[in-house]
This record gives sequence, structure tokens and C-alpha cells, in this order.
Amino acid sequence: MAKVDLSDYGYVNARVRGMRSHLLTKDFFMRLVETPDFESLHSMLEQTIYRREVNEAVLMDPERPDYDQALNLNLIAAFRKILDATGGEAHRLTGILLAKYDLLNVKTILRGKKGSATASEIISQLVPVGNLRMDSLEQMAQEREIKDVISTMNGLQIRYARPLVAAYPTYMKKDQDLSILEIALDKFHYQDVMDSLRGKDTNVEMVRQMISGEIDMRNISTLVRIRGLKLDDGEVEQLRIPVGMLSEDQFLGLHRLGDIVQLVSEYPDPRYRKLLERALAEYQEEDMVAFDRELERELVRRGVAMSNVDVLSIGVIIGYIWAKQNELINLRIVLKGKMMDQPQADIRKDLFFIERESAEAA
Amino acid sequence: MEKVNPTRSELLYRKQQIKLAEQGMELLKKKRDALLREFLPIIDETMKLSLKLERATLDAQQALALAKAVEGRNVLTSVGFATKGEVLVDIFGTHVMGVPIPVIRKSTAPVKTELTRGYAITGVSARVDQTASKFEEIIDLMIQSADIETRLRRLGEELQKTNRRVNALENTVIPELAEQVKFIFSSLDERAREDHFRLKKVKKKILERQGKA
Repeated sequence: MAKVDLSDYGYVNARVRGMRSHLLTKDFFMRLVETPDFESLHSMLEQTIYRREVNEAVLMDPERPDYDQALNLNLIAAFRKILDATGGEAHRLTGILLAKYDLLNVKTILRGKKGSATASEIISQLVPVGNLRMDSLEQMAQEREIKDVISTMNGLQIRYARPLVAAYPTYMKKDQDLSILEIALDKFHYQDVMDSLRGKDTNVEMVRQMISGEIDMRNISTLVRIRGLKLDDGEVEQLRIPVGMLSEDQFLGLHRLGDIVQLVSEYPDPRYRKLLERALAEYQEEDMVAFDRELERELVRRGVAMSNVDVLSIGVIIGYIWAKQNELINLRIVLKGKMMDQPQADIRKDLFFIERESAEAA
Repeated sequence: MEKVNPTRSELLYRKQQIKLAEQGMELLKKKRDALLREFLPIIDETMKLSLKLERATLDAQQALALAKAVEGRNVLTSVGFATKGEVLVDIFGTHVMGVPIPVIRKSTAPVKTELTRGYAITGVSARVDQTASKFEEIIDLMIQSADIETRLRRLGEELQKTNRRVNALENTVIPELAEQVKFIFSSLDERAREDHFRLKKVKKKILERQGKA
């Protein structure tokens, strides 16, 4: 049998492009929104890649099928398929792109312990598509307290144990404020990821751009939300993820402005400034969510656009990951709208499509 | 009608009772008016708060649904683990027009800032923050609502009780006493007439006897 070189982007990307052909089009979503009832919506989903998962959900509970879980299972399967199809550098970079799920899983376990959730409650919320194995996550979730979780992570040599061990004494000193551990995790995660993305390779650069965009988005969102709060410089700096485009001085300077209009007009990067200005126009109506939404959409746009950079690069994988995540969001928006009996126009308003995709569909 | 001894002392006693009942009724009417003055603005306030709560709940549910759709249920549940906690309220008593009323106040503020919810702002979207904030607002309104609705219920109960008492005095007790007084009066009159007639008869017999003699 011929051995396939999994580190070869040509082979992997051919498979990913195959998966991309199953992505739902704008036209499909429009028809989905127009379905008169849940049964017709289900029938439409049955004609898609989600068929197996949604049918299983109905089998499990015909009265109230858990579509959210069904969609999640499909996402996990799709991302695992990509991870399994890649080898070498492609596998490493895909792992880096999906490492945010590791971060979320570790946080979920810590939050579960803090909120006295049972192990099964915690495990049911995990999304095992990152680098951490499910059995390790389960072992962590079985522990009694946060301290034990950290110790187990240490034993399993999970890299996230390092910032947690360092931040744990402060966490105990500050009335067990979980945000201390979470901030330590966020900072470590992005620092670690950016450290592993050194070099001038085009693929590395593409992943670095996406992660960097994610960091910028988080920093801007933080700035928008903490505006007007009386915090000293140390506290503000504590909330900055350091490996993004914003330097410490810029971050502090923008916070000191206090006013959202000034924050937008004095944002140093013109690309983000333009986005923020657009969000500012919607700000009155939808409050701070407008900023996050604009930034998230930009990240999706950038991610999907990576597919066009080079067909023999990680760009195809990046494009698929972001398009798939966006598809899931759109599906959940339609399901939510139908469940809440929302008018079709309201559902359409919340959906987000990437122009290129709709053009392709047309 | 209650069995009444038609005596003069009983008449005096019943008249005294009528006076007392009328005084009581006047006092109760004043209490009822005062309670009404307290009650009416509370109805207005309760209605406004109830509408506000209804709107806030609808708003929060929509925000939650959208947050669940965009972030995913697992993210929302995960954040929910971190924000799990208790809301403490202080309950103490006060009196309005002599009516004991519990006062419910927040001992810890349910509305938190972006930095005090238990999770890190750096890893959670504004959408989740906004949803949390909307639900905190609901808790805040619920505490206010519990306070004002309890006050409304207690005052309403007292108002109803006072009204019942006024009605009982006005329509039953006082008319009954008046009836009894009337009865005693007529009985005493009757007795006086009988005595008078008897005396007249005796006098007539005495006069007849004297005439024969």
C-alpha cells in the first residue's frame, strides 16, 4: 500500500477542500430561515453533513433533540479529521490553531470545580479537539478541588500547569478569585503559542497572523469593556495579553482616555480603527457587543480569506476552520430563532456570511 | 336577635356600647383611609416594577439565546460554573399604620462589574458579559419586587381586614345594638303602660269599695 505523506499540504488540502465542499451556502441558510416549522428545518438538516448527528439527537430525545450538542459533535469530528489527516509541521500548526479549545477545556474544568459542578457535568461541556487527550481531561475533571486539578495537570505534564502553579498562591491570597488563574492561563497560552510560531516560513506566518488577530481582538474587547473603570496602571496592564500588536504604553494610554469615542479615534492601527468606527455607529443601539461582533467578523473574514493565499499552504486549513466555526454559529442562530419564534427578518439580521462564500454559492 | 333583658341598666349599657362602636368605627375608617393612602402609590410602583421585570426578563432571555448561539452552549455553561454564587438579602421588620411589614434589602450587590464576575474578562466575550449583566439586573429587580410586593400584600390584607371590621360595625353591630335599644325602650314603655293601667284599675277598685262603704 502506498504511504501517504501527511506533512504534504497537497494531500491534506485536497481532503480539506473536499470537506469545504460540504459547507452550507448562503442560499441554504436563507431557505433554512424560511422553513415554516421545526420538522422542515430538521428535514433540511438531514440533507447536510449534519445528518448523522441530528438524527442521533432525535433518537436520543424525540421531544427535545439536543441540536446544539449534535452540531458540536460534528465540529469535533471535522476538526479531529483534519488533525488526523495531517502530519509533521502541518499537524503542529493545526494543533496550534485548535489549542484555544484546550484553553477553554482547562478553564471549564477549573470553573466547574469552583462552581462545585460534578465531573459528568464538566465532562459534558468539554470540546476535545485540541491537543489534550480526552482521558487526561476526564482525569482532571474527576479531581475534587482546583488544587488537585493543577497537581494532576502537573503529573500529566500538561503545559498549562505551569502558569497555574505560579498563580495559585495569589489566587488563594485574593479570596480564591478564579479570574487570577484564568488571566494567567490566557497570557501563558498566547505567549506559548506565539513563542512556537517563530521563523519566516509562510505557513507559520499565516498562523501567527490569525493568533495575533485573536489577541488584538481580545485586547480591544477588554479595553472597550474596562473603559471608565477606575483601575491603576498595574491592574490595567494585568488585563493585557502581551504578545499582540498593542504595547503596554499604548494599552495604558488608550485606557486612560476613558471615553469610547476617543478610544476609537486614537486607536493606533488604522485597520482596526476602521472596524471600531463601524462598530461605534451601532454602539448606541447594541452597546459594547457591537465592537466584539465587528472584531469577530473581521477575524472570520481574515481566516476564510487565508484559503486563497496559497492552495499548498496551511491557509486552506485555516480557512476551513474559520468557515466551519462560522457555519456552526449561523446554524445555532437559525435554530435559536426558530425555537424562540423570531421573525425571519430578525434571524437574518443576526447571521453572518462571508461575501466570497456567497459569491461561490451564487 | 340576641336575648336582651329589657331593663334600664341594660339600656344604659347598650347605649354605651353603641357609642363605643361608633367611636371604633370612626377610628377604623381613619385607619382605612390612611392605609389606602399608603396602598395606592405602592400599587402603582408594583405595576411599574413588574413591567420592568417582565421587560428585563425578556431582554435577558434574548441576550442569553443569542450568546448561546454565537458562543456555543458549552462556553455559556462553562462561564456559568464560574459565576455560580449566592445573593444575600437582609430581612428586617417595620410598621406602617401599625401593620408589621418585612423589609427586604440587598446585602450584597447582585449587579457586578466586568472584573468581579468570577471569570477573566480576557477570555470571555462582551456578549457573555452583557448577558450576565442582564441577569444580574433581573436579580436586582426581583429583590426590589419581593420587598414591594410583600408590602403590598400585607397592606392589602390589613386593608381588607379593616374594611371588614368597618362594615361589620356599620352594618351589623351598630344596627343590632340600636335594635336592642329600641326593643328595650319599647319593652320599658310597655311595662310602664301596664303599670299605669294596673294602677288605674286598682285606684278604680279602691274608689268603688269606698263608694259602697
